[in-house]
Amino acid sequence: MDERRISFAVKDLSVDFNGFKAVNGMNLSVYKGELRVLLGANGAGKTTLMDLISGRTKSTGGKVLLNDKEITNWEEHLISRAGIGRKFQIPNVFKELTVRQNFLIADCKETRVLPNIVRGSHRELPDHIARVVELTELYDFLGTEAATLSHGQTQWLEIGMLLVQNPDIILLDEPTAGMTAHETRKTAEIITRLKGRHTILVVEHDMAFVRSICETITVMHHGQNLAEGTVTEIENSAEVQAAYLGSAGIGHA
Amino acid sequence: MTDMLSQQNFERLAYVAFIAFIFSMPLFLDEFGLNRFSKYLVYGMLGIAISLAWGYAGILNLGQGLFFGIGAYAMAFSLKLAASSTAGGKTPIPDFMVVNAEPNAIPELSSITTGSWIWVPFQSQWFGVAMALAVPAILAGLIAYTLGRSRVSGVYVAIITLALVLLVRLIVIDQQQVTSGFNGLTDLAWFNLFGLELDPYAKSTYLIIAFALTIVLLIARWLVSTRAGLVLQGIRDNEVRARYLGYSVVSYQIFFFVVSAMIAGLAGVLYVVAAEFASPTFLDIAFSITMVVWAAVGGRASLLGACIGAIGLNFIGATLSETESLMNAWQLIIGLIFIVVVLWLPRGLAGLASDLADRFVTRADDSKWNRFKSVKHTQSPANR
Ligand SMILES: Nc1ncnc2c1ncn2[C@@H]1O[C@H](COP(=O)(O)OP(=O)(O)OP(=O)(O)O)[C@@H](O)[C@H]1O
Ligand SMILES: [Mg+2]
Repeated sequence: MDERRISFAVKDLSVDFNGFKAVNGMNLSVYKGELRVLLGANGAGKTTLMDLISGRTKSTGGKVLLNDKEITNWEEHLISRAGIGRKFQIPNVFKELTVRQNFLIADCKETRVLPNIVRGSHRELPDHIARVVELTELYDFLGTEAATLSHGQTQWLEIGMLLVQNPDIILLDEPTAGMTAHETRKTAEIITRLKGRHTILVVEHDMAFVRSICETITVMHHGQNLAEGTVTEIENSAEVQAAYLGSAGIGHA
Repeated sequence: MTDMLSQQNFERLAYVAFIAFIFSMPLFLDEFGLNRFSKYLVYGMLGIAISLAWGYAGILNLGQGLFFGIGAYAMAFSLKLAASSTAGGKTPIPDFMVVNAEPNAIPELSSITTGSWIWVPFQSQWFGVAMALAVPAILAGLIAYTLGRSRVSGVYVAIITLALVLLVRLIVIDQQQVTSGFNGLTDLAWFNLFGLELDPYAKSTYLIIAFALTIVLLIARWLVSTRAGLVLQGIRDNEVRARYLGYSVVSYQIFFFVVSAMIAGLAGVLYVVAAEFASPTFLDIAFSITMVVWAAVGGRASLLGACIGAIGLNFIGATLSETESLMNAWQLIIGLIFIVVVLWLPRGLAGLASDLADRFVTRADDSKWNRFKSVKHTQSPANR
C-alpha cells in the first residue's frame, strides 16, 4: 500500500468559522486511482473538507497537497486547472442555460478568454461529449433549460459535466442524494467505471453501495479523521460506533 | 433541431430587417430628421453596450454615462481645437481658456491655464478618437479587476459605478479652466474623415453612423456567440460552477466589460460628431439610469432588443414631446412601461417577441418536430 503514489493529501487542515472549527486538524492521504469513501454524521465537516481542498473556503491552518505540491488556499479556478473537479451536495449547474450549453462549457481544456473567442462555439456536439450525454440519458433534454430538469437529472447533468471535464481527481459530495432507485444504481455503475482512471473521494451513506465499490473508508468526526480502514473494520470499530451514538446509525448518517 | 433553427432564423431576420431599416431612413427623413435619428442610433449603440455588460456579463453598470462622457469629451477636445484660432502663440487656444487664462500666462496650450497642457496632443483628432476608446477601456479594466478581485456583489458594482460617474462629473464642472465646466464644449469643428468633412446634417454622416452601429452590433453579436461568450453566460448564471471548471471569472468579466466601455466611448465620439457639443449632462446620473431603462425595456439579454429599445423609446419620446402636454405624459408612460417590464417581462420586448415567434413556429413545425424527436442522436429541440 505504501508503495502507491499519493494523489492528494491534507495535513493538519483546519478552518475556523468565528471560533467554530468545522474542520479541526484533519489528516488524509488518498492514493492515485483510489476510490475513497468519506463517512461521518451530519455536520462532521465532510462538505467543508471538500470546500477546503477545492479552494472555496480558505483554511486557517494546515496544508493541502496535490502530487506533493502545496495548493493550500489557491483560487478555485487554479485548483480546478491543476486537476481537481467536484460535484456539490446541492446540485450546482448552469440553471439558465440549456443542457447542451452546460456540457459545452464543461468541456474546458481551454479556459483562457482570447483563445475561446477565436475558437467559436460548436454547432454539433463533439463525440466525447455525445458519449457522456448518452451515458447520463440526457439526449432528449439537450435543448432544455437546466432549471427545468428533475432533481435526479440535474444530479446526472452535474456528474456528466464532471465526466466531460475529466479531472484527475474527483470530489463527489453525496452523488446519489435525491435519486430514484434506478438512478442510484446507474450512478453507482458510473462511479465504479471511473475507479482506477480517476482518484475519487466520495461522501456516500448507502452502505450497500459503499461495500460494493470501495476498499478504504475514512470516518470524519468533529472535523477530524476518526478512523480509517476496510468496510468490515469500520463497521466493527467501537470508536466509530461510539461516535455515531445518538445519530441514526452508520447507514443513515 | 427544427425550432432551434427557426429561432435562429427569426433572429437573423430581425437583424437584417433592423439594418435595412436604419439604412433606409434617408429615404424618409429630411436633413433635420436624419440628424436627430443619427443621435438615436448613438443611443442604440449605448443600448448594445449596456446589454453586453448587464445582460451578458451580469454587471449592472449604473455609470455607463462615464464611458460615454469620456468618449464625448475626448472627441470634443479635438474638434474644439480644430475650430479654435491661436491667441498670439503657435497653438490654437479654445475661447473659454482665453477668458480663464492665468494673468501673464504664455498663450500656448501647454501653459495658458492650470492643466491646459492636457489638451496639447488633442490637436490631432485621431488622438481624440484613440483616447475616447482607450481611456474608457483602461478605466473599465481597472474597475472590473478591482471589483472582481474583491468579489463584491452586483449591487455594490452598481453603486460604485454610480459614484464614479458622479465624481467625474464634479471634476469636469470644477475644473472649468480645462473643461469649460458647466457650459460644456460648443462651437466644434466637423470631424475630418480622410478628407471628408462630416457635416452633421449630411446624408453621408448619417450613413457613417448607421454603418458604425451595424458594425458594433455585428461584432457584439459575434462575440457573444463565441465560446468565450458562452462561458460568460455561464459565469453570469453560476460563478461557482464556472470557477470549478477552471475559468477565471475576473478575466471574462474584464474582457466583456472593457468591450462594453469601448462601445460606449465610441458612442460618445459619434454623438459629438452628430450633435456638435459635449456637456456635463452626459455625466448626469439620470442619463446613465435612462440608458439602463432603454436596455431593460428592449431586453437586456438581447443585443438587438436593447438597441431597438433605446432607439424606439427616444424616437417615440421625441415625437410626443413636440406637443407639450404629451411630453409630461411620456415620462409617465416610460415609467409605467419600465415597471411592467420589470414585473412581467424580465427579458424585455425582445423576449416577448422571441416567445411569440417561438409559439408560432413550434405550432407550424409540430409534425417535423415529432419526426426529429423520434430519431435518436439528432439534436433535441430547444424549448425556448
Ligand atoms: N461558512 C460557514 N460558516 C459557519 N459555519 C459553517 C460554515 N460552513 C459549514 N459550517 C458548519 O460546519 C459544520 C460542518 O458542516 P459540513 O457541511 O461540512 O458538514 P457535513 O459533514 O457535510 O454534513 P452533512 O452530512 O449534513 O452534509 C456544520 O456545523 C456547519 O453548520
Ligand atoms: Mg455535507
